[in-house]
Amino acid sequence: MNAIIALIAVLPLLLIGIYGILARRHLIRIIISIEIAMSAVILSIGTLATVKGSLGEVLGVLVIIIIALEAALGLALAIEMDRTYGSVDILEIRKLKEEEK
Amino acid sequence: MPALIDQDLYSFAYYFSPIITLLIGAIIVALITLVKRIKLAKMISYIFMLSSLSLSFYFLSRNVEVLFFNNLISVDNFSIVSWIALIVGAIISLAALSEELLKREAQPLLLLSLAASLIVVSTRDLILLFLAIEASVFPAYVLVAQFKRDYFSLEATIKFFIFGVLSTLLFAYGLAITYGISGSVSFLSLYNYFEKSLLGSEKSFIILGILLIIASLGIKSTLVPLHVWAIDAYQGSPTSIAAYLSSTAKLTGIIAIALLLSTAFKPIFYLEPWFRYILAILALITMIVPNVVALVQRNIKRLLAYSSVAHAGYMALVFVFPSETLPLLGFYVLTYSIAKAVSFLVTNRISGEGSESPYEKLLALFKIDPLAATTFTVALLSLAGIPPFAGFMAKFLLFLNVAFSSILGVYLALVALIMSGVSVYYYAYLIRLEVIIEKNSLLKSNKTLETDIMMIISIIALLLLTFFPSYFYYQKILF
Repeated sequence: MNAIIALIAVLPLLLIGIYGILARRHLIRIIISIEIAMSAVILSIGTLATVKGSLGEVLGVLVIIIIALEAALGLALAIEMDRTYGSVDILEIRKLKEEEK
Repeated sequence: MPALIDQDLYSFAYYFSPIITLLIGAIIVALITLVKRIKLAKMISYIFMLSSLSLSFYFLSRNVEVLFFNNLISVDNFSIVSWIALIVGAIISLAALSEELLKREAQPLLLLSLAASLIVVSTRDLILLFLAIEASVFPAYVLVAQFKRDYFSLEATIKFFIFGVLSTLLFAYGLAITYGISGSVSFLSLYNYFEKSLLGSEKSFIILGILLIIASLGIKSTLVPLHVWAIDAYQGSPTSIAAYLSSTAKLTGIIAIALLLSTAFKPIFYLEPWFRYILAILALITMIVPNVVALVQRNIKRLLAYSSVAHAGYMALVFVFPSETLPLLGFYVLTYSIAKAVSFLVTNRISGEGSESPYEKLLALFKIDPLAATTFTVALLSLAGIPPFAGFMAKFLLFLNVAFSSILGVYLALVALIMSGVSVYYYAYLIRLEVIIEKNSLLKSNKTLETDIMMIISIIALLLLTFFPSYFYYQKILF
């Protein structure tokens, strides 16, 4: 039962993050939303580690590594996007669709 | 299960040698690329990939079955057949890599991503599965972004990246739920946990976790509501990288779902009978939507992308009946991997690495570059499932077994059959274009020896594999 509380308690944070990923247009804001959602997952895993044993702590550290990598790659992409397109608005990148016509 | 359980590091290095070979190869090739010896680097990449492939064939012939490190990693028939299919796709993409990509870091990244993909199919633990999938997808992001000053390439990267990150997020939360409820992450203990009767709230949560993990892997393997990134990513990325994405990277996701559903999550099928129907609906729309949309395409790369999504739908039939049809997936992924990667190889040869590949580029291909035209025809016929080629045998066996599994299977196999018929239209349209002779053709084929060799080998493989399907069945999964 404790495990379920730990999973439900982080849901608001997770949903804020997912809303940000889906609704924001600015690439950096999207990356920040990803960070928010992933920190909800880490919070949940960290709480679960107190209930279910130390495997969760290992998992938490591994997830932190993965988000750090994602943030690095995402920021690199944002810089490249700014250099190439002159903006970081993801709604401006629709050349592939236009080319199709 | 009478398997050799071994904790010895030396024997681990022996049985894991195909992957270790690739990792060593990645380091050596990275160093050689640093000093700008491109031709040498490519040759060495070939040597390492081919030795990895031959090691896999050697283990396949020896019927190896070993579990390592407390059921963390398994080298069995399932892993080895999947290794072969994944390595073959990567070798063909390596042949397609152009000079510009070779000057950058494409080869070591390809080797690293491939090695991680091989770990995905041989792991029997959710944490390692998560890490290996991330390790295989991060080099893929960088591979797609190789031409970062190109609008299309950058657009493809950003779409691929955002969906990839969403997939990571879903997997992480699914993993948290699965771990939080069951308290374990290895496939064996999850299987044992699911076999017990579960309480109401625990049961619904664990099913949410499983669905999240499947959705996350479904983004990787382009199941339909989650396939939107794939079309743009395949079109915008360099063509050789699209070959890699559509064969190896995509099959990693599909094999991972099949692996989970036939090992750790297997009891869920009789615990919750409606779970099968969710997967059936997923397979159904993944078969119908891309086949219909592909009919109106006017770009070769986009068409091949839609066709690869449609094939994900046929492979998703295995998820609906994992215990009956899993053996056939091994043969299917191998033939799909060869045919799809080779069709992108030919596209690369006639239209280069860019995203512009209109249908007109195919006009009079039979006259200008007969070998490429023949290979493209063979690959497309194999993808469509026309008899003399291996794709036919793969589809035939898969649909037959799906139809024999239950009454739901009969309907699914019927839809799959009709959709295969629809797909013949757009494949045949492309083949027809190759024969039309036009005086001012746009076509400039850049012939090279290695793509010639690769195409001849692929034609022979697609013809010969028809007669030996049973060698590449998934016979056994240890966990």
